[in-house]
Amino acid sequence: MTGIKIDGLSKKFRKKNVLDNISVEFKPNKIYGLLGRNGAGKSTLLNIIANRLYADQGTLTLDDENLVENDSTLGKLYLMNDVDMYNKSMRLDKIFEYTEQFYGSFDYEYAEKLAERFKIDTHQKFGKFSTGYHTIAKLIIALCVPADYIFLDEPVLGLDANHRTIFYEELMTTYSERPRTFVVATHLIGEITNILEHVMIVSESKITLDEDVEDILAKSHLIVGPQAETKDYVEGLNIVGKESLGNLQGYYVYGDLNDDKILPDTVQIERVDLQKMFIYLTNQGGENGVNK
Amino acid sequence: MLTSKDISVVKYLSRKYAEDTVKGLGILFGIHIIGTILLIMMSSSEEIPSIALGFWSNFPLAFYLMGALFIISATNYEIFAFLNQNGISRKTLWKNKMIVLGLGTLILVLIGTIYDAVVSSSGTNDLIAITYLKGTNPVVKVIGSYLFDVLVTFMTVTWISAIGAACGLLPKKHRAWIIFGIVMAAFLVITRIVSWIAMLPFAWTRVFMIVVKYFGLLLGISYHGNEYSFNFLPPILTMIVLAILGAILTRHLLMKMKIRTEG
Repeated sequence: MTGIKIDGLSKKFRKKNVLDNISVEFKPNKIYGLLGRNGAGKSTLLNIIANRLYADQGTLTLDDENLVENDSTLGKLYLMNDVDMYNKSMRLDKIFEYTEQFYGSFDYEYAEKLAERFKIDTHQKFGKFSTGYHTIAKLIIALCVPADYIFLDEPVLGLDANHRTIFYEELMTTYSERPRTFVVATHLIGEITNILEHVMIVSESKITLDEDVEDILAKSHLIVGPQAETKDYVEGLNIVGKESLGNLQGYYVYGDLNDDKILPDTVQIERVDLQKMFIYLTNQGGENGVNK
Repeated sequence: MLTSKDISVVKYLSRKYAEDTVKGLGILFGIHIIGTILLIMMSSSEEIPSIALGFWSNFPLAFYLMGALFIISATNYEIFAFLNQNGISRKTLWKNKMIVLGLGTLILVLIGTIYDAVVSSSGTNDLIAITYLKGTNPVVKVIGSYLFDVLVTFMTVTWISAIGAACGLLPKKHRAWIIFGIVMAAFLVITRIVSWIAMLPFAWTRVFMIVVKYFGLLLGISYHGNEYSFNFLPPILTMIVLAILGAILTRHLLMKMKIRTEG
């Protein structure tokens, strides 16, 4: 398995560039976070991968086979998002049967376990579920389908805190028992940070960050100290955000520090709150972007 | 060669179409019964009024069979969405839809042919039998009529399918109104034209002569020395070509389908 490769992908909606020359890879057996603000293009990217939309330009391959209009590759991936693609009058257990029919198999045992844990009635018609249980129903299918690449677009939409916790636990459990690729697009960065292995940030129709979480952490710094000294120290560095607390000024810096500069005694380099770092990295209004 | 996915899609489409057809025809049959009952109830006479009898008998089996095929052909978006969610491409949907339409046409037209042969007063002597198949033996008449009906029906459903696929591309918000507007406009235009023709002396004879003059080659109808002659092969070929064009157009439109993200 070589993974999903996207090369030179572009998409416009009514003359507006939603995705501009995107080139990314989703390798096998990894958990990816696809982050970005509202309207950044995350859902469009996932919809194109799942053949729900067509790209204007670019190529998509899965394990070196064309991904567009190819049943063989489409059968290896599954996209779960807020759009309901199932017939409202169909019962959930019937949906499981059809999923098995089209994907070749389905983990009924695990689906039963998840249904019990989430307290969802699988004999109920899909259209009768509340918003939260619509999401749960689709999550159960996503976790039980035998696809190698699972895309989850806002997987916790409408879920209460308990259900979100259950989902994150089950995601880690199923991933450890049967490794495959998960791509999670979400706004709730703080809740998912510990699960992610690799992060991509979509901003202004481009991929502005595409790195392993470990590498991101290694490049993320919080420089804190008195305003004047701190400002002087961070001169020339890639500042992505700042905070003030009384006389103290904190600068979030992404990238290498200047080893030639001496760190003043009053200035400290601290560990970064990863959620806050991601917020600044996805924030268009920040002082500097990722690449500046 | 059909793959296991193709067979899964055919099974799903067959089941879905059967369910939709039963629901749709059930509604039609319900209207049929209720309409007849209402007409009887509105009559002051103790006997069943002729208008009620006429209303009841004006829904021949062919109407229901065509209704079934119409329902099957026209529904596209919901099926496309469901199959897309389950990793099925638009190409595969189209291919297997044509297979199901073809099989459905063969079966439903066979039911209609048997019904006509057994129940109808004309028996095996329908319009095709007395024109194109005049002078042939009864077995040839039945088989020939069946083949002709299958081709006409399949051609019709491929074009209805194309129209259904086109409607599936319309935004959900105004789709119902656009379709309603088109159907009403077409209905008004056609009824006006038919009314105008009916007022002319010997109108239908003249229409037939015009049709023979311009489309005789395609329909296999020619006029020699006060007599019309009918050749079975040209209309067969015409129907095949039109069916292929309808299928190609359906594919072209289905390939443009995308998942709606609006409400």
